Amino acid sequence: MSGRDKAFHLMVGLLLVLGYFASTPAHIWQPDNAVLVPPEAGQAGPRPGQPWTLRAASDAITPLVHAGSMVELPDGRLRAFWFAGRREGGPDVGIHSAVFDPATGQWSPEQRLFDRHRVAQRFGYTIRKLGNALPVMSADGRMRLFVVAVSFGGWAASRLVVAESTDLGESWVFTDDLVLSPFLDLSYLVKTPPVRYSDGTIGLPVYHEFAGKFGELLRLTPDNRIIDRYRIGHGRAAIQPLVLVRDDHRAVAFLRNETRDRAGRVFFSASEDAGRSWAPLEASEVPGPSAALGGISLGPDHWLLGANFNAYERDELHVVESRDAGASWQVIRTLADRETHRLKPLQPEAFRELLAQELKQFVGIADPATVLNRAAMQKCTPMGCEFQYDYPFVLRTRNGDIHVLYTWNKSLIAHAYWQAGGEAQ
Amino acid sequence: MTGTLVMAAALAAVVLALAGWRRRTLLQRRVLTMLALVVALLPWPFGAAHWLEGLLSQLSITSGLLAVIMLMRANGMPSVMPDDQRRMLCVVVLLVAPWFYPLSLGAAALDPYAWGFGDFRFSTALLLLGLAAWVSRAYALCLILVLGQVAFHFRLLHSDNLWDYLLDPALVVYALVTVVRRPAPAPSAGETGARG
Repeated sequence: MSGRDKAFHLMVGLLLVLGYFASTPAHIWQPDNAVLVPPEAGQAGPRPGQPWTLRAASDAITPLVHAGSMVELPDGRLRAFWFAGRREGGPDVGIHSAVFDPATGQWSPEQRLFDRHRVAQRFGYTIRKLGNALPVMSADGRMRLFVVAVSFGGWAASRLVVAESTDLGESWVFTDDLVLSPFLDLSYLVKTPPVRYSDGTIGLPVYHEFAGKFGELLRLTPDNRIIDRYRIGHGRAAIQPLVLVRDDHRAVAFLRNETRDRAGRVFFSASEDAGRSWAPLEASEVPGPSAALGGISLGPDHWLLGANFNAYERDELHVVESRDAGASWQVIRTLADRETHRLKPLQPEAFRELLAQELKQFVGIADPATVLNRAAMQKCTPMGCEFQYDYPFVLRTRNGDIHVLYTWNKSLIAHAYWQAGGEAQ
Repeated sequence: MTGTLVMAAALAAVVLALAGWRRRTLLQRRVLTMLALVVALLPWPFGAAHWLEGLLSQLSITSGLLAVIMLMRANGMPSVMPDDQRRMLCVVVLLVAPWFYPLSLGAAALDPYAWGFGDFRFSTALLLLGLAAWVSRAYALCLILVLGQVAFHFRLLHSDNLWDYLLDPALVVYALVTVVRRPAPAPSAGETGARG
């Protein structure tokens, strides 16, 4: 080997060492001692029979609405998000939003924030449709919105993009395209709210539903850098993990059951190390069809879920509570119950009549006729009409109030509101 | 931007391969390369690279470098990667892909893709792999590895995951085609593509 060859050889060796350091990001040189931020202790929850107020966050300006989510603003108001358009997965679907002011008990008019073209323009590639949107409020007042975007195919070909707002959700700038899968960046979706870590990072529950069906907790910095991810289940079992924090090290996850041989129960997993590893999935005591859950933790063993709470259909929706870490559950508020009509599809007239009665329980529905038309359009086929109440999203605000958003027959984003220590407005 | 350039280079390389570049004159190859790059790099929504990024996500730095090496060779520049090293790279890719993709896509609780967000064991394994290539004087492999790691450090692609800088499904397909079509190691010298 000549002197020049030897020098080159040594230089390449040094470059390999350089490559080693380049491949070890700064965060892994620091010990990761971050723990979960548990919910504020000592909060009372709603009791059976206490009043809840029903409203609609959406205005029925589009035929379809779905997948409501929300976040509390610094001034105590709520901002809700959902996707809306002519049909689920349609090219006209956009992300819509409205603001609820607890002081007045009113939702602002529904506004369209953006559509797929905005996302495509920002990232420079084709976006065929948009889906679930999940807001996260940062300590510095920034709001992030994680949005499911699809370039081709169905939801299994989804990606997650991130938009940021510095004016509490009025205007948005797309900042990041999260790459979560080594295979064509397929297929990750988001539905449930994040957990927070003591170091300012969040654990964003995401799920995969292309090759497998499983959940993960994605560890994200405030500037949307992914620093780790933790798998919740594997194979083709369960999606849409709802993570509830018990204390700084313990958390539980409830997941939508996607199996056929073990259907009928919501899946459950637990973590003892702040979400970094999860026990194998097991059937929980919560019955459920293949449907999304919402929920909050009111204490280490005190949990509240928005759930269909039956093994078969989405035709009933309840707020259920466990005070013994999931060993037993009781219904504390029924938001909808059409179990008696299960497997007995109704004719449109009867369907509309029953829905009209339901709408009378809502406060401030401006145009019930339009809502009924939308519902009939979405839920009636030549075989008859079916009820659907799903995609609950539960939030507890700093003052202890509890809010549930859910999709009402794909036509409204319904809002159930329980006021801590007071009467419903 | 880096991802788009990588995709454009890969697209141009594929175009040249499909056009049978060895049968073309040097001028034809250069025109073809330029045309492919221009079509690939047109601004969104016209550029083919953008469209493919939407479809395939971003390709790895490894794929980009292999494409650039191929374009250099096809356009009359000296080969900077001997065929035996290219084949060695393809073999490594084919050894990794069969367990990496199924596990990363949820086949078991183990998630090797998560190592790519930062893991000393993964970085050490790559260092050992690089050292093995270094001891074998496979310098092109070493440099491809280092460039992928440096690109990861500076986050030149969208991804925060080191795997995405080193490996992608298109690279696996390329490796498979290369190994299947040329099972025996090809001679490392001579083929410079400057015959036009």
